[in-house]
Amino acid sequence: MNHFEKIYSEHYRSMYYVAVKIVGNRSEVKDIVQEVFISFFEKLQNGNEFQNSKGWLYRTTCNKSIDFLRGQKRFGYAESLKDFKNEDKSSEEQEVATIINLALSKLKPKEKMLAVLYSEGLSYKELSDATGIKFSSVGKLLSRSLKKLGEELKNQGYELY
Amino acid sequence: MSCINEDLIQKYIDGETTEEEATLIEKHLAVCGKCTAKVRHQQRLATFIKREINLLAPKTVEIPVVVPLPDRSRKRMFPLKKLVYIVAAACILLFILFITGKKELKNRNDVLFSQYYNWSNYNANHTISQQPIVINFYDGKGSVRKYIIE
Repeated sequence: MNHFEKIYSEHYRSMYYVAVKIVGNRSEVKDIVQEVFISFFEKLQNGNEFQNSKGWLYRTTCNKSIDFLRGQKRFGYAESLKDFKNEDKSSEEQEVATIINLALSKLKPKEKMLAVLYSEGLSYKELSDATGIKFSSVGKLLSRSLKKLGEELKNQGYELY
Repeated sequence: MSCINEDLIQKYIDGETTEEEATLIEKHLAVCGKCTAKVRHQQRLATFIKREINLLAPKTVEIPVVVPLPDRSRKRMFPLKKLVYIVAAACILLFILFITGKKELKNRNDVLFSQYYNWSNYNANHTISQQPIVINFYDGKGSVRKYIIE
């Protein structure tokens, strides 16, 4: 198995999770992840060397997902409940997912990226590499993002823990 | 140590503090009920948010099969190499034509000649028409034949 295929099989699922958490469960998630891996493949073909493939993939996935959302807003597509529908889930799970997605959509892009990547279990060093936030500022921004998210969920009548 | 701020609490609950920081925090928590409650609240919030965000992830993800792409680098190189060979061949051909063309000119059988009076052997007792004439014949190879007509 060559280098690209190894990275692809190891990280596809993680990138998919990140994209779906940022973008919501839309059909474009597969396209976004595919674009990320195509970019990675092309860079490998051009002789680029990656010191941290995982960090690059996370960063590119987040950026492409955020860019997608910006594009949606630019063309006036309002985020509504139907954007977050997931046919794989039961109606109760769907309701919960919708509330969480709406709360996430209220965060700024960097805050959203941080919260999503935090849920993926990344360390502060990995969070810093993926988001471009200074390592010393990760704790501060993370605590604010989580606090803001908690307040958004509360405002939507969601019971916290 | 004064009460801990939220940023440091976050670092602590995520295990990102240094040993020294962790020791100081634990010493403070042992004596500060307010900070202990803050840490507990923030820990529960972080765990809750992580869990809820992870509910967004689908249960299964189908990983598309990788289809190897054709090696584009070879395709890019081939036309350029071919172009270089063609240009080089054209230059060599032009060079050969140029050289052989010059030789052809040299091989022409044109003969040139010149004539003049041989002023070095001028005889003052004779008229000009009686003076010897020197005729030089130049052939295509560049050699000269000299004739003196007296």
